[in-house]
Amino acid sequence: MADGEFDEFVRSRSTGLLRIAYLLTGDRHAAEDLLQEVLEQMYVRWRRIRGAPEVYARRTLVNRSINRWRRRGRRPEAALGDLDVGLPDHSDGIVVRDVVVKALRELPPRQRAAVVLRYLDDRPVEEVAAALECSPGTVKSNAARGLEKLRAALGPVLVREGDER
Amino acid sequence: MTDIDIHHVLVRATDDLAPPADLLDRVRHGGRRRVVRRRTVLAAGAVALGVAPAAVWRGATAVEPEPSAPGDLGQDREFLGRARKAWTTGFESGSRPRVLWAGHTPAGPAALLTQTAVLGDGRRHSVQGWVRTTGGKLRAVGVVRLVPPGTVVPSALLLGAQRDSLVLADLGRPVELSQDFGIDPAGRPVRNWAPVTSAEGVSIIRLPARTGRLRFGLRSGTERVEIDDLGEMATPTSPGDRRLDRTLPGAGAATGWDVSKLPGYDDPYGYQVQPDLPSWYVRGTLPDRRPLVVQTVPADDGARAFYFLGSGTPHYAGFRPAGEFLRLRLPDQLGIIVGYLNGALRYRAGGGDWLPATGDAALLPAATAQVEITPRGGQPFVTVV
Repeated sequence: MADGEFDEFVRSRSTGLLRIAYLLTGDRHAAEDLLQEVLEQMYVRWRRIRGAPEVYARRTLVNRSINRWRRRGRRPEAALGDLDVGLPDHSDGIVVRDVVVKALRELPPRQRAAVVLRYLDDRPVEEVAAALECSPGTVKSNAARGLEKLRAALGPVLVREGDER
Repeated sequence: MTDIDIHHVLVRATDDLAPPADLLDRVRHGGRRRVVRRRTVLAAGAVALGVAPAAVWRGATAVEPEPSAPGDLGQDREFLGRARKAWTTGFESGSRPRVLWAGHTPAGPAALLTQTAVLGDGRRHSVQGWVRTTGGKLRAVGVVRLVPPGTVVPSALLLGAQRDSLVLADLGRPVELSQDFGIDPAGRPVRNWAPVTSAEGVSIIRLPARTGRLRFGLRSGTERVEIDDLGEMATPTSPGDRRLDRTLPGAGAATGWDVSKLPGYDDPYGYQVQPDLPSWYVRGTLPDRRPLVVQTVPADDGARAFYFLGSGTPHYAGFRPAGEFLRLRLPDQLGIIVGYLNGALRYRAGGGDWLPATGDAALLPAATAQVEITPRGGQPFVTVV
């Protein structure tokens, strides 16, 4: 196994992947668990996937996050509003995170994944389609529907952000 | 509201997130454990079960015609070809997969296959796994099993929205199923076992639907039968990697006082969905100077709690929610063990003054009525004990 390559991948990409995992799960602890599981799986299969580790990582993150049954098994599900966002320090960042997580939670899993990969990770449609194992057209429709709902939920936040600027 | 606005909001919502500093170490440790666990567990199983001459496959050439297989789809050459095409192992291999069984299940057609594989260490193994119908297509199940070359071992799939259809491939070996488990008065899991009889080496068994929960067990002789589509999710009860070891001031020696190391306290053949929550192991000393250990052990969706008082004999204190919070009242007014992961503790009796406790776990006086817990980075709350 090319340990050096794997180590470098983890060092350089784990922050970005954790942020994707967080928005997919809505829970920081679940996101860390999810990322570790995915990276462990990649470690075992590195010889096979090292040519395209990003694609594999995104696809596995999405698939595992969509598997709600498994996630419920590993960690009792809680209302997202009770997780990570209930601290008394309601700074702007906390408020934004609260709204974003709640809004994403309302989306069907594949719409959520399409929005996160397309607009957080800034991936082109074709790469998102590879991660979601669907056609680019399906990605576009999922992302469009997800965005529409997200815009409605995030409107007040965005307006306030604009005012501050 | 532009796409760029959405991007900025998503970035803002996550820009303070960073992975744990020891993530790489944890991943490498976990990755190695996955490989080692498969090798050791499955190799041991294959040795105990012996080699199945009828099912042994020592390689085939690419020009070999598609052989038939047991199962109601075992004569369907088109399906067998699709199964082989859907099969992927994740390991380098240079030989043709062989279908051990192919048939209909409540969740659609599925097949069990085997193939030789070369691991990262350059050694050849047999790889065994399933393809099943997902989203209308045949797809390889995520986990493959490594066994010594030329051997096969019983394995199973758990299908259905409620995970209530067990597809069990015994491959001609005696396999027993336990649908449920209980906890005896000593805190030990107990099971009743019944033999499984199959047609053509595969049984399809309906289990009670329990969303998100598993309670059954499978064994073949003294070996656990693996469920291949659960990955690492469901495991035998074990202390796990998230045990919170705490040594209270003045703690005495209590070597070996650990139910996870005592026979009969685990559930080696059972499948239980364990919450990814910590278990506690707290060593201390009683006011009469006897050593004390309080321990929680994950089981199903909670934890069994035990205590040792002055000897290596465990006492079962019941089943309770697993998690960061530990609370166990000892008998005979010996005190109360309270813990909260990375929290600060204060306690008081009646309406008395709040007194600080040292660390995030402590043995408090039996007269304690309330405990104030301040989670790290959070607000204090008071609980009655």
